[in-house]
Amino acid sequence: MTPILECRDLSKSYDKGMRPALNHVNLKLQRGRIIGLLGPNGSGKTTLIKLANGLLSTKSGELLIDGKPVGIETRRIVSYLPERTYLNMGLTVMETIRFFKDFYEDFDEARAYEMLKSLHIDPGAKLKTLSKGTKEKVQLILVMSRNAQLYILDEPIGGVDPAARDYILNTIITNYNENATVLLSTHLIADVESVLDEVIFLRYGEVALHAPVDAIREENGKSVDALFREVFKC
Amino acid sequence: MGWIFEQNRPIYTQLLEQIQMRIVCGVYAPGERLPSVRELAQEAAVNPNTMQKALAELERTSLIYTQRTAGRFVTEDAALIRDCRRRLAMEKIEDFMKAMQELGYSREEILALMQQDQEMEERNEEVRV
Amino acid sequence: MLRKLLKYDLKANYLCLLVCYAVYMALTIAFSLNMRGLIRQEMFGAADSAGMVPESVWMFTTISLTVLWGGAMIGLMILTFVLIIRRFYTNMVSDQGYLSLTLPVSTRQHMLSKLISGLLFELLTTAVLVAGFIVTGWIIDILPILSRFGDLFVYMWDEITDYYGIVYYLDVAVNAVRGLLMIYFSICVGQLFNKHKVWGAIGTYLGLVIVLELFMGILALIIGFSPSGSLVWLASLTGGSWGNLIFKVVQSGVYFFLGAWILEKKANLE
Repeated sequence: MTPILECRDLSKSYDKGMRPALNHVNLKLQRGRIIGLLGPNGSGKTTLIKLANGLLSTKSGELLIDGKPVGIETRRIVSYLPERTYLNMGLTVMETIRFFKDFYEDFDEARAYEMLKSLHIDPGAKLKTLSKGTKEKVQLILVMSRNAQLYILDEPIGGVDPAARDYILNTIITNYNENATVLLSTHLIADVESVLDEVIFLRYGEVALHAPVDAIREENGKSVDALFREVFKC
Repeated sequence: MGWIFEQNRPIYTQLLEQIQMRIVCGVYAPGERLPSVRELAQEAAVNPNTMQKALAELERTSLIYTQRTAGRFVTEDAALIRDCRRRLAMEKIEDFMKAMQELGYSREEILALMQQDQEMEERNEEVRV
Repeated sequence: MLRKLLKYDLKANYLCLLVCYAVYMALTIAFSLNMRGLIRQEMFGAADSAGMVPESVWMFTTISLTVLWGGAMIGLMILTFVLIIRRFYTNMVSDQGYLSLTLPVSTRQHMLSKLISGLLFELLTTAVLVAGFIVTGWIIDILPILSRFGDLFVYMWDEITDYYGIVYYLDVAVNAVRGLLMIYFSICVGQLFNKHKVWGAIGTYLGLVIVLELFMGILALIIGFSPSGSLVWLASLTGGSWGNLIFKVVQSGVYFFLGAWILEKKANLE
């Protein structure tokens, strides 16, 4: 089966003369996995994610999603949560749900409303009146309410309280279908470790490690979090 | 019984142990239908694939079995569960022995110490009565 | 998909514009009533001296309302333009671009939706401005005079279009389309810069204007037109206007497709 996401010798640099943000990355992500994309700030996590969504253009190498280069076809099957607020703040939560329903055929409106209810968010509220954490929750709800094949979540739990964090992780475990892959970047490794199949460590734009969580624990006798602290010790 | 994981060992191994424990203690009674992989994964807050793997391993040891449409069930074979219980007990004893030996006790000293502890317990009982 | 995009593009600005139209209309009416009062008093005097309004008050209200009304007119034109440009910028290449550019919609459809909505808003503002004049004429009761002006305008228009034919109609339409696409294209180019994306867009726009003027100037010189005045305008008024029109259409096409291609293949969002 074609990997859901594949990088072949992928490089990207912003300024000439500067260290590349991604340096000859080779990766294959299989279907039906929950994968953590880990690395310190500036290691290339967000760059990789933006390339996968066509928000940046590749310099050299290839990035394929479901065997196809990034484009309108791949956008249909990728559900993307950026690390920033990207919604039109003048709209209400309900209008935003309507927007997603208008544009994504795989959007499950009922699921979105159910999640709003669980997190006690008023669908009639204007986005700009919501707190930062609540805005993030709304965005995550929208993204997770799609029946996508690849979910790419950039820092999905960074700004929310621990209770909501549990709910979100729970949503990730239960919501995605068996053949979908979730790629999530975070620096809160300990919180997500038990829900991950695999982790990818990025360092200076290179893949330092790509292995199953349990294999890491077995080989090193320590958690991924502990290994991360060791590998990236300042 | 909550799900608690140690940081330094594979989650898969720990899931295996904890589900066995639940079966031995009767939390999941013999012949009882187990929750689905997804429900279990959600309850334990672990990756569904890992949970799936642990259940498959238990199935291999026949402690649980799958009925094609109805789901997974705990075995009704009491002997099998007894064996499992005994194996877990032996593992605990081994761990205990290892810890005691690290403290510098020999096997005989350990047994003597346990004897003493037992007598003390009995005396306390008598005083209370 | 285009219809859905259009729905949201129109929704984004219509409320703000409606409020501005209302303000403009209110000022138009205030200005007109003031003028009517002034004219009546000047021409016929008041029915009784108690109703006379002092000269200094007339002076004050007339001057301030004229300034306000004129300001509103210019403001409305600028605002329409700013709103159209802002919608493209925020929706396509700033934070909201993270959503727009990851929708399963082609960037050509995005461009088309922005173009159509922009043209609609321009048309609407023009209509409101014209309506303002008619209301003024009606209130001050100089509609017959205004309609004379209107007749004159129609006459001139007929003369011009009779002379130049359909090219002239097309030229007006193509100019509106090209004007917007040139701005959109500049924004697409501007986002290629890693820093100072807005300045990049402005620079691109000015660069384009200069290059085009130079090109047209040189072309006009070569063909032998008078180099005085705006050469582009001159060229569009003369016999070469079909060529000019085609050139503008080609330009618009380049802006449209190249802009969409940049967004699709060369996106560089911050």
